Amino acid sequence: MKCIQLVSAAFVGSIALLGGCASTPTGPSTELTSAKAAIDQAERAGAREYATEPLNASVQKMDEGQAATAKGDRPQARRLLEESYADAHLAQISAESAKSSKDAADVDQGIHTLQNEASRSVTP
Amino acid sequence: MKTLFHRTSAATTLAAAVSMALAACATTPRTNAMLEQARVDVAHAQANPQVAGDAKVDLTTAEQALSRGDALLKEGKSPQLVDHQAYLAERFALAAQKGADLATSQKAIADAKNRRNEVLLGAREDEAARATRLAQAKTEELALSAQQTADAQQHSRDLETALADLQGKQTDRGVVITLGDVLFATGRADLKSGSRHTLDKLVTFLQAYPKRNVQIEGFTDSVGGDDYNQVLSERRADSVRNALTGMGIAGDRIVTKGHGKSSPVADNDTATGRQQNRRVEVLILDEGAPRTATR
Repeated sequence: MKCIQLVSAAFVGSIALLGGCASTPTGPSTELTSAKAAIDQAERAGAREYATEPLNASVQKMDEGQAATAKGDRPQARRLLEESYADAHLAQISAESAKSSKDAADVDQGIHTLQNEASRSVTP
Repeated sequence: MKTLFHRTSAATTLAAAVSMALAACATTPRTNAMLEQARVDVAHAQANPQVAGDAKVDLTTAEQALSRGDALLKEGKSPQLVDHQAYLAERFALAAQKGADLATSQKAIADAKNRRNEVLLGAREDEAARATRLAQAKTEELALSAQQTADAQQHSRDLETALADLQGKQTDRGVVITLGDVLFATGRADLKSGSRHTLDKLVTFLQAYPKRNVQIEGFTDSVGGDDYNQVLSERRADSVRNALTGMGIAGDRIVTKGHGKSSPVADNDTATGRQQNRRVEVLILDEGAPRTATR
């Protein structure tokens, strides 16, 4: 019985030790992953061109969040990464909206041209 | 020292209590500027009827962050925590608005594409209608021209038949019908009744071809003087003319002429020859030919 306890203690200790070994400060990984993915999406949506402000804010929050992680301030890191995500999400939607609005104007213009051509070609 | 500490502590506690009481009296709730800004933005998004679908999800996220911020503020948590929720609420509220804009312009694009298709379709229909009209006009034109050709051919065939029926003789002046001397007695200009049949056919022809005019020429044999025969030939021509106008042919379609004994077609030395020379020739003039044609 005593033996088992001893082994168990050693096991727990070793786990603790392992944990100690991996003592590079770990940040909130879910938030980090989400924020990074959101920045990627925003960039793919053209945020560099169409939504510079929220994209820059997102990238800055990401940097700050990683700095907070390095300092071991997990709660602050989590908040910054959440905000980074919110910024990136806003950047993505803003970029999509801006592009779509531009497309709509282009299509509209195209139709006007088409209508003019059509009416010209019909009238002999 | 210890007492002093206690007293200070008590004073602080008291001051805090007083200030809280005052705050409560003034019913001033705790406020946070960022949270209030977020509340305005969330309210705007809530008031936007275009916020739907994905934008609605963002709005819900914003509303939840705003609630958390309110709760944290109420619990007296640090402004940093409240600001964080306010920030999230504001960003998601803005995202909801942008999402609504996106949906609106996407709908506009879809509508515009439909309109473009309509324009294209309309243009195509106009084009098709125009082509059809042209084709139809062309067909009608061809049909008309074919009909005209057929009519002309028919007319020509009918004319030939009618002329053949008159037993006319084709000459370089046109078709000539000779009303033989048997129609007139020697020295007489009035028609014998036997001429009726030939004249009936001539009248029928002239009625069917109202553009055809006739020239009636009288001839005699050599019996008698020139003047006598000239007058006689004219009277014979006039006699035929009178017969025709009497049967309904307009006088202005008929020209008469007397040739006397000057144009025999046979030998005047024999009775048979003289008989052939006593005649009236009806020349059916070509369409549009002058009615004063002479030999």
